[in-house]
Amino acid sequence: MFQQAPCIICLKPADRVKDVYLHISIKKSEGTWNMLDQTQNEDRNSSTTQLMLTFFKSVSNSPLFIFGVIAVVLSITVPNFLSVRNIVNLLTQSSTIGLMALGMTFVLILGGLDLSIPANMAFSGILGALYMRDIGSPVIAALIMVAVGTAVGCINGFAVAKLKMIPFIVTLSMQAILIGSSIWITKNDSVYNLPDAFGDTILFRMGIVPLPVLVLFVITIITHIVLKLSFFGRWIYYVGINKNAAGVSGIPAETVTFFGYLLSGFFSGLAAIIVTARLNSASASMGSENIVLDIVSSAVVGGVSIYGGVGTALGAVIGVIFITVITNTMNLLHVPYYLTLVIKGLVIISVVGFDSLRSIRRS
Amino acid sequence: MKKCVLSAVAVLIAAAGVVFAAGQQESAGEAVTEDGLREVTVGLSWNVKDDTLIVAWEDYMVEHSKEYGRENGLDINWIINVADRDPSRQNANIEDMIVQDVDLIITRAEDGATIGSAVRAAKDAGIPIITFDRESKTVKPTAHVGGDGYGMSYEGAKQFAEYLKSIGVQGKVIELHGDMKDQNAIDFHNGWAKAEEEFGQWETIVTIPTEWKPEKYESGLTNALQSYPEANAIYIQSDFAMDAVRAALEKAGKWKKQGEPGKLHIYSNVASTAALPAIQQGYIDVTGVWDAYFHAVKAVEVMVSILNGEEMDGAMFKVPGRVVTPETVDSMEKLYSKDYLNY
Repeated sequence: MFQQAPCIICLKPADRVKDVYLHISIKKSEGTWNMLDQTQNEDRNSSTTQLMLTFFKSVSNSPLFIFGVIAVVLSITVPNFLSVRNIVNLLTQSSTIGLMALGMTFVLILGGLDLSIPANMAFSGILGALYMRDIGSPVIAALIMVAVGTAVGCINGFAVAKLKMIPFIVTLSMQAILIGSSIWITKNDSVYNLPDAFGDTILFRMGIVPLPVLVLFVITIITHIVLKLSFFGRWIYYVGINKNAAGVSGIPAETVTFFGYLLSGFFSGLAAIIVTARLNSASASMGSENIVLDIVSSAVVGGVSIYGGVGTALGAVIGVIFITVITNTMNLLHVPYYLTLVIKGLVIISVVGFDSLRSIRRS
Repeated sequence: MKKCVLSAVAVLIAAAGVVFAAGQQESAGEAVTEDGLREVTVGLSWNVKDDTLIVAWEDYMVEHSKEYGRENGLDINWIINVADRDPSRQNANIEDMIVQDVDLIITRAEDGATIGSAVRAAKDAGIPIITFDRESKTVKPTAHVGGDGYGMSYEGAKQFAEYLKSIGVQGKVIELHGDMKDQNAIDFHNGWAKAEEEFGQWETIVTIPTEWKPEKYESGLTNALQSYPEANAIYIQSDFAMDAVRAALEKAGKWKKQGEPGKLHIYSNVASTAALPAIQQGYIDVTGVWDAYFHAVKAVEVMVSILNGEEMDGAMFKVPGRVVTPETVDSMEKLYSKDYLNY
């Protein structure tokens, strides 16, 4: 049954890939359950049991539930975790990584990788900040950040989609170019003395909720809908599962790949606006290579497969919050920094390992 | 539909847990120990912790705060985090400290500009914040504590001038500069330049920016030794990368002790664990000491004063350094590199 799945997808491009897998998975499990049922005890085949089975199956596929459980445990055990200030702090910290993870989600679902996201964010932020400091308008500066981020995404997309270059090499090289350019432009110094209006606007609070959190919320919903309900979104999944088959089915795989990287750059530009506002400055060090690990691991923790074809925007953002919660909790529990790294690494390896097993099982 | 219902159930369970837990949370209040000491919590935010100097700073601060805090009616607890050279991470770490309602924050900034927003956030939350070692370029903290890079460098260079004079050498110096944007590096340079101008015992023939990266110490010095064969002395702004300097000098056949022919005369700052053996054995002639112990002691004193209500309003505390030579190094006390030589 599993081996037939790619054929079903190719023949029926209107189907939603994940739903196909989910459907197959439940059918298979139900069959196994029914066999056990017949050989052991017929009474257990009651509707209550079936309901519980379905419940636990769904639970295991629901990051929201797992996150809810973790939230309950942490709120009971970790002092200050539940305070409004910490929740707002946590969501604010998640907003920039969240935006970058959304960009990475497009690329990962396509079966690619974008290592240049943090460097792109830093570079875009620096150019916008320089404009703001030396010339003026924060609005134009914000547009510059988004435009530069998107332009870098276009270059990556062109190299990967049209020139058929390997994403790892393209984006790693782009990362080096952007970090080098950032240091060169700024002479390794920070760009500061930015207009107050910029930070005040971007970090404006609606009640207790900072604007970056709202932005992340809205963009996550839009991205989720685009991925799940639009033709473009479906094409991304199809290209991620089997690029050649997608091409044969009439999907413009090159164009879809190009736009995937473009969107990744676009989200880097958006993240640059928020990070620059939060730090009230911009520098090459904003594009720390460690951020790539946070972005990829967040997306993977949230159910985005590094093998392509699987994942959701909502899952990726929940993954971001989960990774931020780990760091935040470790800080609140006063866990030494190096132990935090170990714990974080173990969690990420576990999730990636699980993803790998899931992929093996699926194939 | 079923999934939506299950998700809703999940959210409800989470919400119930949250409400339950909210009832369990205690409001933070001022606590007093059995000895009548006021319990306070201090957050210490490092930009990085990959050097014994930082480990020494932390250990000296925590150790000194026990006794000094007790003498001043305080029982001091520490929350320590590290940002791994990421300014965004450092600001987030400080925000986490603010959430925990610490009584005071001490931070060594990764970036003097970006730390400003964290300083502002702490002050907005009513939490005093001390910048340590590296100053904030944008927002004035409650106080700053650091070494007097200019004074230390000048005093050390003065003694180096006397040493060169005593052996009849007119110096032609290669300067290994740190990060050109780091205020400490600038102070080190200015102190050295002032002594050069005042005593006229040497001429700095080339300045090499190293960005505090050991590989640049090595490659920069190697190139300079080839380009400037007339050089007979080196000024090392921070000797934490002494192994890299040694590698370059060994390649050039110029790694010599005092008294050996062809020796390059060396002045360095810091007296780090990497440089201590070279000082003891006479490879380095004069060193200005970046006194980790006294920096930490001053930070604790300032911290306790603030915690006991003293207003600081951005006061700057610059701790003067000492000067050490191969003759005085073994008898010098409170030298952090001795305490952490085999750390």
